[in-house]
Amino acid sequence: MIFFSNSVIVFIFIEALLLLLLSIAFINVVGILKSWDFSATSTKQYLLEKRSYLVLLIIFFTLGFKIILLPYFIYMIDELNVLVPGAMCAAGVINSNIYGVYLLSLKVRILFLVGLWIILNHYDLQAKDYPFFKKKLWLFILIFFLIIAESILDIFYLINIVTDTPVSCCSAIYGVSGISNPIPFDLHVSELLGLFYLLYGLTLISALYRYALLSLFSNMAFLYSAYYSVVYFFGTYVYELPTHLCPFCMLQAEYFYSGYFIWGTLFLGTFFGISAALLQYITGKEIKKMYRYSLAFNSAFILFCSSYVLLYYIRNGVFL
Amino acid sequence: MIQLENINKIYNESRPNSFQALKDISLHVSKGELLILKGVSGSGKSTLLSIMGSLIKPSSGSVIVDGESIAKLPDLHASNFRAQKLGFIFQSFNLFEALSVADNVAIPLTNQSLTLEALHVSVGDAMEIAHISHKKDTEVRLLSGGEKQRCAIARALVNSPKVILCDEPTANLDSINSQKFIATIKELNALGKTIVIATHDPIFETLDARVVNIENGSLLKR
Repeated sequence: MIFFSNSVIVFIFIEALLLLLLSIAFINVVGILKSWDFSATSTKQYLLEKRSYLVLLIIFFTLGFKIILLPYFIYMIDELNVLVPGAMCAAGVINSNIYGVYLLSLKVRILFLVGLWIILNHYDLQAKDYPFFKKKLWLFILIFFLIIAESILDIFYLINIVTDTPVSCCSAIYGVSGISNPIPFDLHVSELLGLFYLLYGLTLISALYRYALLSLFSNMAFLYSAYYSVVYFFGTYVYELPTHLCPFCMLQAEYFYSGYFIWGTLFLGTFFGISAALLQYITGKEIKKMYRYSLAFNSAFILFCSSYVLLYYIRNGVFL
Repeated sequence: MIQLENINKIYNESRPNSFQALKDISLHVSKGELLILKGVSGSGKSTLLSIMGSLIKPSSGSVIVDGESIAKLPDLHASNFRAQKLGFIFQSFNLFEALSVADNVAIPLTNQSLTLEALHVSVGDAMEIAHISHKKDTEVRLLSGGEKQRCAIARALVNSPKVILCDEPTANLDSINSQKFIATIKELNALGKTIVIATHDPIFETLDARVVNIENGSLLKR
């Protein structure tokens, strides 16, 4: 039944097409890596250079589509809630079988690596001696295998979405009933918020002063704390309901698709913060632009989330 | 301006039909110099010119043009390098027949992020120098051989290159148009352009230029 949904058909078709293109690129990448010697002036090396340009172009566009496909995947899952009994949003559909959470988590990780690859490729093409050529091809091979795993999980997940048995809705999944405290380290919401703003401060300092190591760890920790802060605090202000705990409902039209902005800015901010550090270790260069982007997106995320709380307070004179 | 050191070029390397087109060639071309590469067909002059223009890469040796080493330049950078520093004039003109003269001349500027006004000025100036302004809106297919050559010259000049490379530029021209081409070359050289012409046409002997003879892929000592 799930496979009769238009959005699922489109998703599977695009995934298959991208996988085909990536497989072609993978075969070529292995061939190029086997014989690549930039110092050589042989006809073979020049042919490899020409071939690599085309292959890199294929990889670039294919991976670019993978970036677009993640928001589409979330949109598709959200749409499927009408077919899954009990599900009110993407949360119920994602948790309708054991593969969903792993799949979503893998997709986000792949997206991160894809972003890293695109930036590394950009800096490699800017140079005149392919300084990161082999590194980016090895990174592509890692991404390719993860995409294979993702495709297998995609199939298992979609096949196993239940349409005849009721699943839990988001309130049941993220609510506190049955669990003493779902926030890690048994933190209270106020402690979580303190940690959240403290970690943002650290990401701010690391971006302003361009401390690579601090940027790496503060952004990773900020991503982690931000997820729980949005689900267990800021989300309630988006929904204007203290018992509504869900990372997905805010993606719906009812909430003006604000979730896409919230999660998008959080992902981009932490991505640039972590990548700035990683790329500094890979390329040996400090990429100032990345720190600036990290600062901008993290700040936009903080401002947007905080504004919900502030506006609620201004309107009602109380907090939730 | 152009420095070639120990250039070798082998086509189809490690294959039965392997062929060495250039053998240990070293050559220096000064800024503003006019150089004629002379040799019969198959002597290697076009290959040498293509290496100078980063159209092909040497099997060994170093190529420095305007201070930049281009022997191993990746294709993407080689394209940018050509667009910024070199002008080419080919034997068969390599023009788009269905486009107008002005459109053909504008092609090297398409990727240069110019304003439309700046683009029109550059195209107009180049057509003026090449004496083809009066045909700017005419489709190239309607031009004579000499006019096509002038269009090709304008296209080579439009990006204000420091170096102009010409490969058998008079091969498709009659003697009158060949003389006109030579007159244009003199004007360009007077403007300070470094010009290298690969040719076997004796008409170029009338030019006040350094002549380098090439035979079987080697430079002949004079």
